[in-house]
Amino acid sequence: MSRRAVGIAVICGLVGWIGAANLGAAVVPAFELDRGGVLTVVALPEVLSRREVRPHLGSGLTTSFIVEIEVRDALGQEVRGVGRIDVRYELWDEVYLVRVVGAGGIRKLPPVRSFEELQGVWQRLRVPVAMAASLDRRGGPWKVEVALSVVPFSQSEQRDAQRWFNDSIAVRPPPSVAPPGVRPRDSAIRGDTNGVLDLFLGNSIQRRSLVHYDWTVEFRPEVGR
Amino acid sequence: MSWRASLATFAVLGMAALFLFHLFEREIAGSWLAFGVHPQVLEELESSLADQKRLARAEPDREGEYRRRFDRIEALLGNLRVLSLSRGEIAQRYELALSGLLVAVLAAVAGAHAWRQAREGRRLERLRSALSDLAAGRTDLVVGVAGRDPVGRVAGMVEEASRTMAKDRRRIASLENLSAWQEAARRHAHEMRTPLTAARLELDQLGRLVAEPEATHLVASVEQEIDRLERFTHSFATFARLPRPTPRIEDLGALVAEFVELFGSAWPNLKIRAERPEKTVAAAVDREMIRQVWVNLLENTAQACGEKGGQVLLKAGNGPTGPFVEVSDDGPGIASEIAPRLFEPYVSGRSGGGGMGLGLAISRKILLDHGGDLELVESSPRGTCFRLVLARLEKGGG
Repeated sequence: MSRRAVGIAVICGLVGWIGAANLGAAVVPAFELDRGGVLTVVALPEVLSRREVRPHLGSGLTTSFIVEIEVRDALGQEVRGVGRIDVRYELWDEVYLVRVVGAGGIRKLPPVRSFEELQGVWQRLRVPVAMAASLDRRGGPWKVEVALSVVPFSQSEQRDAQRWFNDSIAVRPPPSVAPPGVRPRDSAIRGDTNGVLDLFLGNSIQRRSLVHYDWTVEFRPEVGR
Repeated sequence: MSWRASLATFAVLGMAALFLFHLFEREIAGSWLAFGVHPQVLEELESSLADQKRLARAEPDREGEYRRRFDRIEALLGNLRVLSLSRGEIAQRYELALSGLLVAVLAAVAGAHAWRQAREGRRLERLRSALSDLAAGRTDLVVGVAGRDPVGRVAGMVEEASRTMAKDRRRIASLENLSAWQEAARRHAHEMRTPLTAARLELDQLGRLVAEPEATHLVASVEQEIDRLERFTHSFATFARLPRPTPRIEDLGALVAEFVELFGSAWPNLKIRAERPEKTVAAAVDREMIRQVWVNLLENTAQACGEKGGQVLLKAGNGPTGPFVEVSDDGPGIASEIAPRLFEPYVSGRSGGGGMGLGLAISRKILLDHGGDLELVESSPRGTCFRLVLARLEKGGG
């Protein structure tokens, strides 16, 4: 066997090994439709370990995974839905707190001890995203467009940061000038030029998705289910 | 400023503003943001979090305290991380705010400049129009351009020049008028003097030939009339031969005081006093001729006040048009029908033909010859005020 053939064999082996390792992970989301017409995402592709996502999971901030779907049946009828998975690493207890917000309400999962365990939880997640009872189940497969956005902090964390930012950059008189017990007025409320500018800058802290994934899948709703 | 110069100025200003904007954005705004979210700061905070946990484990009885501290640091760390994640947006927003400010400032400067240019244009147009009117001979102009800048100053000069022109015209007209009257008076005096002299000689002869009392009485009566005509002729001659003044610089205040001292008791029915000015009022005057003017005015006042008497005040001062002396009395005033023609020769307010009406004409001629004027300031039943306006002394000499 030539050296070249050995090289090719090694590469093929490596590719096969990597493929086998990822065999359990979904490549596209999968769905379930219950009798009540609730469409649930049952297998989200594994995005937690991606390098654009992974560092945020341990930041102590709430990383939100927003799942938006648009379902169209064979008759062209359309249903939209949204669900969300919040993951926050609790720095003191060193556990991941996971919360699922969907069509069925809010569901808190038990604390997760490690990232590997979190990956497992992710694979088993069920996120009810839409009420699809109005769609036609007999006419043929549904076309489902799925968008997954990763947002690095929550709305309340955004508000806290905005408030802290505005307080930090606001021009205040030195403590010696203000009489004891008198709280200096907020420059933003004061309405002067600095206040307006501070408010303008503070509002630039907005939640934006870090990464965005899109899939288009076909889903065959099973008649009678 | 031409539009090219304006454009160049704006280009330079705009470039300077852009440079400052860039410097500010890059060196100040960027720097503090970078400082706030410096990785080392975040690392130190993370390390501090770990420390709090270790301390809590080491001192379980103080766990609550370390936990509170941990929460505070965690909140700060969270805020900094949010800030770090929003850094691009904050910088963009900051640039947007600064750009807006820059545009607003430039627009304000441009607007102010345009407004100023338009205003200057309007002012210059008014000035041009006024100069054109002045060149066309219009006087008493009001340019309507105020200000201490060159345009405002030139406008002020144009207004002053037009006022001076108007005043000079009035003076020239008055002088021409008076000259005509003087010439007429000279001829009258000349024509009347010879027949009057002959008449007087013949009357003397007649007086010697006729001894009857009734005839003597008639001769005396004719003599009185001839005397009167001679006085008139003398007045004509005086008016016709008014000498040119020989002015010298005098202190008008002192001159008035001296006059009152010398002539204060000349008119028994008048109480004359002088008000001494605080500062010296210098003017180039022929003191004898000015005294003549005062005598003429006081003569008229004494006549007007009659037995009732009156008070007269002479006051020297410096006015906007130059030095002046005001002569005010508390007499009955001048009849309104005479006032407009008061300074014309042979206009008299005295009843019964008591005057020739030459006193004020002579007085005005004297003032006009001095480069000034005689003005009636006011006249009412409560009194009359005349103002002797004299020429302003040129700087550095008389």
